[in-house]
Amino acid sequence: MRRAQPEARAEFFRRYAPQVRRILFLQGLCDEVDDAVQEVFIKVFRADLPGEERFLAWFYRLILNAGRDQGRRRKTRRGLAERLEGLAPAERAQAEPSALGDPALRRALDGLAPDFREAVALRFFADLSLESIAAAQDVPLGTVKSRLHGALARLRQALAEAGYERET
Amino acid sequence: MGEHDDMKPELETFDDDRLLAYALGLDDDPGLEAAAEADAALNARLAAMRADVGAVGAGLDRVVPAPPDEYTDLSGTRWGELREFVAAPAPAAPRRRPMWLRVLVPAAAIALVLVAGVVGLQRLGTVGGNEAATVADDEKTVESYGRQSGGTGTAEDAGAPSLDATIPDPTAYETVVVARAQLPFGGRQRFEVLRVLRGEAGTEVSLAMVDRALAPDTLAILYLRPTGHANDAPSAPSPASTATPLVVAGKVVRYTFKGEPALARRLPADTDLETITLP
Repeated sequence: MRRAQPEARAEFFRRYAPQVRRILFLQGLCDEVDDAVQEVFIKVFRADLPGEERFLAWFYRLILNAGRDQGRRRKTRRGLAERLEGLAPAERAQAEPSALGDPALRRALDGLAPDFREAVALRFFADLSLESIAAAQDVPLGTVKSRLHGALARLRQALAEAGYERET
Repeated sequence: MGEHDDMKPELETFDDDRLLAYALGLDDDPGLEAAAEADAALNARLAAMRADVGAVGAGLDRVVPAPPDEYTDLSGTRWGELREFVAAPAPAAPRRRPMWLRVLVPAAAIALVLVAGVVGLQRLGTVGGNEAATVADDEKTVESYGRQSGGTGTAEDAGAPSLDATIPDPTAYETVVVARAQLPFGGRQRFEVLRVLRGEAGTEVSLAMVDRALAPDTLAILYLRPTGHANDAPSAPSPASTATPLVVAGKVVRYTFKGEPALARRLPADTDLETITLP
């Protein structure tokens, strides 16, 4: 049984908790997100950890499952766009022209299927490779590719409709 | 005729899927890179795809911002249920030691620190003539990601920078390269690879930022694909477990590369690339 020492656990938590929180947010959690983050790390610290080569897939699958479970238990049914709105300070959105497309982006994220949002979260917040995303979502590589492609197409379209213009 | 057929270039298709995978940093694609250099239209499509991906990434950073540094403060009430896992065992009550021990032990510790310092300095010298200069230079030139990208806001800037007083052990990484940092954007930073010191690498790598980025045009040694296997998992994927702390050391900025921890250690701008050698 491979167990981590307290300081190694603390370091692991400090390193990964921010991205776990962001992944869970994009899965649709809001008020309950910190409970879910805590639940993820308690499971990690109690688990018999898999080998290093399988660890990342195992860890991110744990996060996705925690998000899905919490989502099912969620009492409020506010839409994702509305919940994400609460994360963005209003003054910053007003100050940055680039943030003008954010409401459209939130709506587009809200419109994505959960599996697509998960793929986006794992790619952008955890910087996982295609193979790791496939392992975490337990789907073939091609499925991940089509999910990311579809999601990016929707998000790009949302930004374009909101007036985003490329710099290049 | 046969000879003519042999000379006919192989036709490759560069559809949006392929461009997107490359722009997302999912696939290394030397064929696409080479074709884009020779084909202005393809190069423009690739640039547009990168811009779109960057805009989406920047939008995601705004819409789902990273929490402030205080978020991971384990002493907060928010993480009460985690405390039992991360608290070090309480030390045993100290016993009164004899006077000679109380004098001798601190003296021995000071001597050890001095010896370790000398060894650390000697090791620094083997990594290249310019290494020592990075220690003094690091603090003033590492820029915060928030300021560079105009993206994730001030919360990430509020805390201490994610710098380690360590020199990574290059043998703990499959790939070590010297590279030049590009402008960070959308939570990612690209590096132009100038020299491969260990392993294999393309002409460019894209790293995801943890909370800081190097200033554009900064020279750095990148440590990619950790090979170390700490017994102490779950810290196994953490670069902290694959780095070798030294008494005197440069400082590094943490990134991730394809889901694994990666480190960038800044070099002075006038570094002669040819003088850099790994121990």
